[in-house]
Amino acid sequence: MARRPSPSDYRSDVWNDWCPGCGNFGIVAAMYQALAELNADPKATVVVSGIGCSGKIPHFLSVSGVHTLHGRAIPFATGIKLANPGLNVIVNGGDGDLLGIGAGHFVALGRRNIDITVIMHDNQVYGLTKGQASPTLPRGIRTKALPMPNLQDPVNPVALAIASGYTFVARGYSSRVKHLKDLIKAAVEHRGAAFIDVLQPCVTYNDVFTYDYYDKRVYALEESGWDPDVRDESDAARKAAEAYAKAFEWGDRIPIGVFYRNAHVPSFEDRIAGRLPGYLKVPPAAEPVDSGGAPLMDADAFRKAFSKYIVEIGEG
Amino acid sequence: MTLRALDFILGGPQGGGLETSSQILTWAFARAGYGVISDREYFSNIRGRHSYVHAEVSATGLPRALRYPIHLLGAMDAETVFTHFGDLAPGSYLVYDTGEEGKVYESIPSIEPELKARLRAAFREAGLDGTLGSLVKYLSASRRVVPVGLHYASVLSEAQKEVGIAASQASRYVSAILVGAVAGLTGLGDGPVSYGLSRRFPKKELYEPNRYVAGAVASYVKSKFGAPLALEASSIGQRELLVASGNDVSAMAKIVGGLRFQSYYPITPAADESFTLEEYESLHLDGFDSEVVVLQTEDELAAINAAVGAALAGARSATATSGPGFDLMVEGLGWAGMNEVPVVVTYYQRGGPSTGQPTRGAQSDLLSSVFASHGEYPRIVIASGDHEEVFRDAIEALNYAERYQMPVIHLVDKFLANTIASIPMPDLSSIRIDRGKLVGEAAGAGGYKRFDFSSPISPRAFLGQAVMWYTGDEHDEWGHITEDPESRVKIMEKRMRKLEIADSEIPEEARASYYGPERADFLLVGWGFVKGAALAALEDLSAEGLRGAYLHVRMFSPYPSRLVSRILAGFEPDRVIDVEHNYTAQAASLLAMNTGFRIRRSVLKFTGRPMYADELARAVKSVLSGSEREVLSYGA
Amino acid sequence: MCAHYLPHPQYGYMGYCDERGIVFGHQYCEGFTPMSADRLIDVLRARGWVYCVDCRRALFDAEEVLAHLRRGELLTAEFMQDAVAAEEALVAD
Ligand SMILES: Cc1ncc(C[n+]2csc(CCOP(=O)(O)OP(=O)(O)O)c2C)c(N)n1
Ligand code: SF4
Ligand SMILES: [Mg+2]
Ligand SMILES: [Zn+2]
Repeated sequence: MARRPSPSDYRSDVWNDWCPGCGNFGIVAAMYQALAELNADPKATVVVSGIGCSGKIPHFLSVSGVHTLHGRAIPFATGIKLANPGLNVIVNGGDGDLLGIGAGHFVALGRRNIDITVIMHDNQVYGLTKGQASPTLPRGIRTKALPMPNLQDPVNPVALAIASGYTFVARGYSSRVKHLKDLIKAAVEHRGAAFIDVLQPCVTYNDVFTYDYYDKRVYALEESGWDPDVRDESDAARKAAEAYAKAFEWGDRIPIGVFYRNAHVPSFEDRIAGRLPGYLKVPPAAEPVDSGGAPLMDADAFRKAFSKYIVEIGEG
Repeated sequence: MTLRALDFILGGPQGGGLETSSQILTWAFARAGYGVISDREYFSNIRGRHSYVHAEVSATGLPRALRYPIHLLGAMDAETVFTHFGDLAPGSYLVYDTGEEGKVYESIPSIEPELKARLRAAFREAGLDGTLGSLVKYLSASRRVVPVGLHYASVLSEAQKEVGIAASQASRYVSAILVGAVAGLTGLGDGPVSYGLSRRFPKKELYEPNRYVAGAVASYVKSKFGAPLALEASSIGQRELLVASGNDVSAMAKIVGGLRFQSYYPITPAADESFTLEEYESLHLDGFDSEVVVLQTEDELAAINAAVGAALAGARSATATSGPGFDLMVEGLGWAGMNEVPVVVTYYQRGGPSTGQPTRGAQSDLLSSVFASHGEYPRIVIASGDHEEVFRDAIEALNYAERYQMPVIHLVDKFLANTIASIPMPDLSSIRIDRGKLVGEAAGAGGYKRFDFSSPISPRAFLGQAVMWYTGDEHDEWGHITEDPESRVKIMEKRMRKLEIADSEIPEEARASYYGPERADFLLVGWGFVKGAALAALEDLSAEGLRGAYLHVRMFSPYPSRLVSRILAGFEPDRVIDVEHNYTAQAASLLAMNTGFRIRRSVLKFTGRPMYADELARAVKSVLSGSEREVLSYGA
Repeated sequence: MCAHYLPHPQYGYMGYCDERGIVFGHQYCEGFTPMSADRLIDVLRARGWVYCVDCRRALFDAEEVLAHLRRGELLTAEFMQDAVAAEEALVAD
């Protein structure tokens, strides 16, 4: 490559129609910067999103983008990644998208530990449907559009990710862009399922968790001496438990940074490669299916492969 | 006298060895050169409820349909006899356990109350005391059924003495008793029976004792009855046969067709296909390599969307499901339609709605397959009518999906899925793989329009080959969102035009087939598993001088309207009869929608059991003499 | 452009003065503190973006910000609170 790319190389020319001031701008800025610093190949990078304000993000990036269905970004990403593990797959979803309608998939990705990075735009509301409570909005809180205070308790995204088996779990803040950029880089470089819960002020619907609110409270875990890394496999459970407890620290001080990282769990791709010897060399997307329009399998191979189903007519 | 075809039923408690008996016999008959079809009927239950296998063995062809009454009933337990005695033809044979003669139907908890009520009435009328013994006596005296009583426990203790029986495998030997009895009554040779047994039990420790039990029972039965159900020598003229269920045939075809990714969430009767695929996920034979990622997902939402994702990346991709799962997939299917994604859904129909009849067959999801989804998008819907069609269609589905860049639904019904049939070895040399318009790396970075408007089918690059965008929102050529009204018209037309192209390119003869004489007096119109019963019923009817034909519809979108209209034009409207496995005659509605021809007469069945050739023939006669709607219900 | 001026997200001609705590049109008063390029660049570094109200675009790099600034356009990374916009918006996706 001639020159190192700059963040603006990763911008598409689609007009960005988020509300002026939206925290999503910080997330997309961090992505431009992270992709540039990772020297990401735009063809080999696929940003997969759900539906919501957050879901529009692929259109603002000049890498490949797949803007899917509400809640289903993870399954799409799973199919893309497993068919071509050479692609760098990043999921962007809303908190409603990933932890409401798509919560089952969120958990499943952790169990599989597929090498996918999930960036959650955590604004505690359903932005694109006019500010209803999202699964991360605490009980009793009444954000601007709610007719009544929220009756439901929130799910803790960091704790849920740890419990689900994500091997990289972090929290970022959209207005600490350099910190967030570093988290995204680390998450992409981590081999396994990585999750970043990004605190993202929604300036239109969330008048409780605002820039002001977070600016006063967030602190970087790494600066407080937190060590997220599982150094020895036997230590994984203890580390996870500590990170789990840390995830509930919320109030006057809100930690951001990497909570938990475990490089010892085999990725799903490696698990598949254990069964399909050619998988990583020639992934499903690249494996030929025909030779000049004829099937690769001839009668002989068919007979050998499926002998179990073939009955030769005869005496004995 | 020898038989040209033999229909028999083996019944017993689910999980009690029935599957084994049936497999061994199927292999043995095929080995002896006969055509076999065998349908499994079972409850949604793991162990203990009554299940049965209904098979037809033919000396003259490869059967595709089943018939009643049967020549032979092999019962593992009393419940089987209580359930099926009415199916026995005069002069037929009943193999049963004399140790169960004292069993009273009222005391069998697994018999459903409705059947008990029917038995109560029947027993009262015949003056029976409710025991199996009394029923057997009655059948023998009044219905000329020949009882073949064996004391199963004694047979087994004899075997225990002679060859030893492993306790954990005891039910295997009950299977062997039935195998032996059927072999004895049909005069099936030692060779084929040993062949069937050795395929089922490759290990000597199991093969030997089973061989002993089957052999002992066969020679006892033969010596006592003298092979009264012997088949005439086979005139089928095959050297080898493929013997497999529809699920397995579909899996094999997908591998031949180059499938590279299949996602699924377990559901009956679809899951077996994915299991089989997983069994063959990695094939490396000299010169042939095939690897398939088979992913068990967390639900059907994930299954369809992961399959779509894999297709975007360039893998030939499919998922397999049944009604409840398909319902969950509908939104994802719409995304695939919107984004012109080649993805195949193999749709195994079962009885619905809701969980419905999870283990029973139906053809009630046709309209759902054709119409399910909000919005409008093109899709191809294929329906297979027998195992050979399943093989072809499973491969064509993958081709059509890529050629026309749209989702393809391949409809199979549970009857086909779980029925084991003997079919000729597929002719692989006639199969083509068509990946459609691909541009690959030539798409170039940055300049590639995935939805290039210059032709309805835009050249496709895979994710990784170029930068591209996809979105479920309405989009422009680049895959970016646009709500512009003029652009909307353009892209809607682009997408929908593809269906017209498919309609003009796929020969109508491949989408509907006509079976019968050039001039026939009446026409049956059907699809799916109806094919076998319809063709067999027509044969029976022509023996009675009624000359009918059968129109088999194989593709419902795009619909072969011209061909179907032409065929219909040759018949009096009142002589056209719709035949389907549903309540509302769904295929007739689609036919009317596509051709303007309203079929006024129908034969329908929605009990979850397949249509039998004999009941269909009777119903057709009623329709020909004026009835407008016949509803079939035969079968336990 | 005054450093104390937090423009309205849609109508840049009105804004909030965080010094005096009042809403006013974008005219100058005696407390006018010019928005310096350095300060805008600092905000850009911290937040990742600066918004050009006139162009209705987020800007992500320093040169871009300076170019818009040179053209005398209204740039900010912070807007006045608009508590009623939510009531006016219709639903989407
Ligand atoms: C199946 C389905 N149900 C509902 C919707 C409507 N919908 C669109 S966006 C959205 C919520 C978005 O909230 P979130 O995921 O938090 O994203 P945000 O807009 O806050 O970024 C909903 C419910 C939909 N598109 N699809
Ligand atoms: S509604 Fe909220 S989340 Fe959506 S764009 Fe506006 S500020 Fe951002
Ligand atoms: Mg949200
Ligand atoms: Zn400007």
